[in-house]
Amino acid sequence: MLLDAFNALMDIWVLVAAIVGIVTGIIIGAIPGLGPTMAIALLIPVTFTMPPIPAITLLLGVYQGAIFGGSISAILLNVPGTPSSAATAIDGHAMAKRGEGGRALRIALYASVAGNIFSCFVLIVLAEPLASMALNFGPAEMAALMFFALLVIVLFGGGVRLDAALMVLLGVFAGIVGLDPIEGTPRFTFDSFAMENGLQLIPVLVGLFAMSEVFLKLFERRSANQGDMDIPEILPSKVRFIDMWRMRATLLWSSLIGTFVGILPGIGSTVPAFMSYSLARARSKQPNKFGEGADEGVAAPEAANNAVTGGALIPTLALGIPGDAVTAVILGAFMLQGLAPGPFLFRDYGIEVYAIFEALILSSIPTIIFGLLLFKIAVHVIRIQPRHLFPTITILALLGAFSVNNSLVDVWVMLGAGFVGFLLRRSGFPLPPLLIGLILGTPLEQSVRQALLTSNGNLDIFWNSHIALSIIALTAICIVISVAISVFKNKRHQGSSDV
Amino acid sequence: MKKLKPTSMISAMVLATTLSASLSFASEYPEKSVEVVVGYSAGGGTDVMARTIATHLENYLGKDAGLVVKNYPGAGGQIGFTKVATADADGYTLGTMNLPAALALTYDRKADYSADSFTWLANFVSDPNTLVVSKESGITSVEQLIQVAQQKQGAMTVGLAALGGNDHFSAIQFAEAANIKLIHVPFKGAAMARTSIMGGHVNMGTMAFSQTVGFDNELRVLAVLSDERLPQALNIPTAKELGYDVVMGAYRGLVAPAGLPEATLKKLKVALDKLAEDPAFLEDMKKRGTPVQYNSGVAYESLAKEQNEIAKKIWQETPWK
Repeated sequence: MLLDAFNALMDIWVLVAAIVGIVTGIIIGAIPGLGPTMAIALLIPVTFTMPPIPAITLLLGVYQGAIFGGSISAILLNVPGTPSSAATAIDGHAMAKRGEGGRALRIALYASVAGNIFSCFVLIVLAEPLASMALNFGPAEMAALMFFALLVIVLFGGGVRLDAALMVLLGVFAGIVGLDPIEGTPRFTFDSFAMENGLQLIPVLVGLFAMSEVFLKLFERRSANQGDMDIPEILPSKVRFIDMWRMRATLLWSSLIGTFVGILPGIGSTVPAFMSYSLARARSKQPNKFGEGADEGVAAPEAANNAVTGGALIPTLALGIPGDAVTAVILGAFMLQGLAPGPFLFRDYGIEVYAIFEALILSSIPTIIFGLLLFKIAVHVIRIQPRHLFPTITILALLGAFSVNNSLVDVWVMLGAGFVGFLLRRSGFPLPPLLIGLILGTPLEQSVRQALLTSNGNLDIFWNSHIALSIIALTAICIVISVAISVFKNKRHQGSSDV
Repeated sequence: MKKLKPTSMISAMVLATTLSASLSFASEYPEKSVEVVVGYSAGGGTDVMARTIATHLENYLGKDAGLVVKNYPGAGGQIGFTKVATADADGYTLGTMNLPAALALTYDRKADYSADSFTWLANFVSDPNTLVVSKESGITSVEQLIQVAQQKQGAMTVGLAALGGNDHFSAIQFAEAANIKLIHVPFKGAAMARTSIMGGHVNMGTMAFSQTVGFDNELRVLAVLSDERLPQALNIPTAKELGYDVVMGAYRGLVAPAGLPEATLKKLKVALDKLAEDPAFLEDMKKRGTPVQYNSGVAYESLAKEQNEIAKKIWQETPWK
């Protein structure tokens, strides 16, 4: 199987797809404000007519490239493209100010490759057994798991919990639009057939993440002094294998955190990036060097934030529950290509799935090559004037939204989502919980109603299954932990202010 | 040979290319990729057929015609059927058609299409429904299935791909014939319903025979709802011979929006007729448990009318909503 999959990869188009994906990803990711989610959302229509393996290779390449691209602007300019590279910026930019920008970028690149490869191996080991367990996941278990995912993003997604809860609910509410999943009753469709499809993921995604950025810039008083930002001088530098080997424990821990946080649907890559940064500092013999340009300070968050993808793909492929926007889009691409997730994915499409796993690992090679080649060039994308950049994004967003279903309604949905996204971002609400709410809302409703149908309306079905009960118990534990942490923090805070 | 002046040579070439371009314009229908709309999620019987047809039909439609299968699942397929019915009749949108499900939808709710909204191209598959349980349930015969249902006193659940589909009709008709009560649990597509049956989350299923193929270790087919036993599964009895007169199946074919241009229709028909005789295609379809029973044009249209009447009758006698 592994060999057949490898042979399927040995195709010039797969290589082309990987390279195009990675290079585009690096360039888009390097532009401040544009992250991996947006890069994927903008490129997905390109993959519609491609066969499954190159299509998904391209999307994964974009994702990996964009994460590295994000660390370019984070390290050299202290302008993290995504919240998850904010952790990298702390020590990375400190190094860059010393002229060690090249060194920081190399460390970031190698660490992200390490994190990625680690999580891929975990994915290969865990995905198939978990998928075979999927038979035990009936409606009740699915409902419990999705509820858990929605709660986890509220509790541990970072930021104000009330804000996250509001965003999740808004997302779930947006998912109500369309035909109801059990009886086909139209809801909030205003007798328009186009609305019976509901609000489709890709137009909403493009609107929330790409179009809202355009609106934000449009309504900004004075464009920030982006054009004349100083790039610190990059002195020639080298990172030897031994330098990375010294950090092996940090890399391993960070990859572990990234992978396993990634498995929990919904949290995303910001939390593991900061978690592993703190862990690396706590384990370090010279914690005072953190913040002033420690190698580990760059390596830890980068390894963690790349390891998330492999982890997030596990529940996506095994149960069809995507962990974040990126895996939701990849899941959409899978379905588009005829690969239905679940217990039989590995049996019926084993070659495709393993080819994709291997592509994820092997694409590290072009990522390193193009990462090293491009970072000095890519950094100049920062000089692109907003008046050139944002019309381009607008055109791509309009095109992308239209091309999903060739429907003009989707374009309006995209623009609407963009405006809503703009208002929400302007008022400081986080967008990822909104997206997870939209992704999981409808399936959650369907599962709950199916479970109640099978149990004749009896709520016992949620306690009688071991799996569902364990998930509910886990949910309760998470609530307790989360409350305990905040009480503890409050106490400590008060204690220190008393002194 | 007299040497041609470069200019006259070029103008001849230009003339030739424009001529051939304008000549070919009318007949070269597939100039870009053709979309095949599937109203169900990926992995179900209809989806598999669409993808098999798409792969092989490309050989007969000309090389510019990449066939792209697009899934629009939900609402029992209504989203997909409406998409085809309301698409431009230019031959670039085709759709899979499921009888009687697609026409049944026009009775139980407001639908923006009817039997007249389509150009009936060809039917490929006649796929009888089954009575099926998970192997682990321990149920080995229809008789035992009915006993279990009676013991459960109306709490027997049946997993369906959607309401108003052939599996739903089968469940209604079987429940009536066996005098039992079944609770209908709709899923999003046949693949998800099947997984739930295997996992024991619902007690039984009435999915089409093709959807049970390849799951011999997980599923047990108790009976097929066809007139005669299936040639590919002679050991499985029909419900009819067991004394339950239930005959229901899925007819899966290819349609286009009504009012297709004559030239386009002709080109498609020729390609489809050729496809129906392609041994590689027939072999592929057989491997997936759905041997081809091809009928096209008028024959297909009258099948559609007949199924329309059946759906209408069931709706009048036992409305499912």
